[in-house]
Amino acid sequence: MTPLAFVLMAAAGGAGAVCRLVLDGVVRARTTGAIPWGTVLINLSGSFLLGLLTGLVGSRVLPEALLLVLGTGFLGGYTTYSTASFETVRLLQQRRWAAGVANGLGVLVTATAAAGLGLWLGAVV
Amino acid sequence: MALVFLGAALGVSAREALVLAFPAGHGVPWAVLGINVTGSFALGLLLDALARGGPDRGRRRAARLSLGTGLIGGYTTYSALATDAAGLIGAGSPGPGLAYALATLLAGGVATWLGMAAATLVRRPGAGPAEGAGPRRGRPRRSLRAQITGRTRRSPSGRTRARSPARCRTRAH
Repeated sequence: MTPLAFVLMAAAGGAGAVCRLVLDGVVRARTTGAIPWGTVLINLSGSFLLGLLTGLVGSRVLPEALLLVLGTGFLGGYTTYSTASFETVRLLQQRRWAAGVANGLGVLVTATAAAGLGLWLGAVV
Repeated sequence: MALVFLGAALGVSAREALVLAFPAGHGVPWAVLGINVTGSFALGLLLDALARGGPDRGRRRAARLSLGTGLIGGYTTYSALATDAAGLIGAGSPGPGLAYALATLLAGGVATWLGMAAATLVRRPGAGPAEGAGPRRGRPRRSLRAQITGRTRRSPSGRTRARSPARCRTRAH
C-alpha cells in the first residue's frame, strides 16, 4: 500500500463519517420511536454497498485499490458498530426488549443478508 | 464536521493498521472482532461519562463528535462485519460465519455495558443529568447497581420503568 493510498483511505473514512453524521441527523428529524433508524439505515446500506464493492472487485470489474479507499475507508467510516451496540444496550436497559433485539440481532441478520446480496450481485454483473 | 472528519480519519487508519498487523485466521477476521469489541467499550465509556458530566454543549459536544462520532465511529465498522460474515457463510463456512457474527454481537454488547459501568467509576455517582443545570446537590445518590441497570424505584407490581443515565436522545456516533 502506498502512502498516498493510505491517506486517501483515511480521508475517505473521514468523509464517510461526515455522511453518517448528516444522514443520521436527517433521519432522526423525520422519525420517531425507540429504534434508531438513522444508524440502522446507515449500517444496512453500508453493508450492502461493501458486499457489492467486494463482489465487483472479486470479479475484476473494479480495481482492488477502490476496495481500500471506498470499502475500508469510506464505508468503514460511514458504518459504525460501536453506535449500534450502544443503542442496543440502551434499549435493553430501558426494558424495550423487542426493540433491543430488533436493533441488535435483527439488524445484524439483515445487514449480513444485505452484504450477501451485494456480494452475489457483484459477482454476477 | 471537521472534528468528525479528522477523528474518523484517525480511527479508520488505526483499524487498517490493526487489520494489517493481525490478518484473518481460518477466514475469521479477528482484528475486526477485537476492534468492534474494544470500540464498543470505548464508546459506552465515553458517552456515559460525557452525559454524566453535564449537558451536550461546548467542549463536551466537541469531545462527543471528535472522539465518539469520529474516532470510535471510524474505528469500528459494521459493513466489514456483515460482509465478512456473509462471505464466510456463502463460501461454505456457515458455522464460522455465524459464530463470528454472534460473537461480535454478544461480546460487543457486554463491552458496551462494561464501558457504561466504567463510566460510573470515572464520574462521581449521582453527578449531573445529561441536560439541565448540572450536578444536583442534596439528591440521594443512586446505587452503583441502579446506575448500571438504569433502575431506581420499584413500582407496586415489582417492575420498574428503567431510566437510562442520559435522558437525551442518542446521537450518531
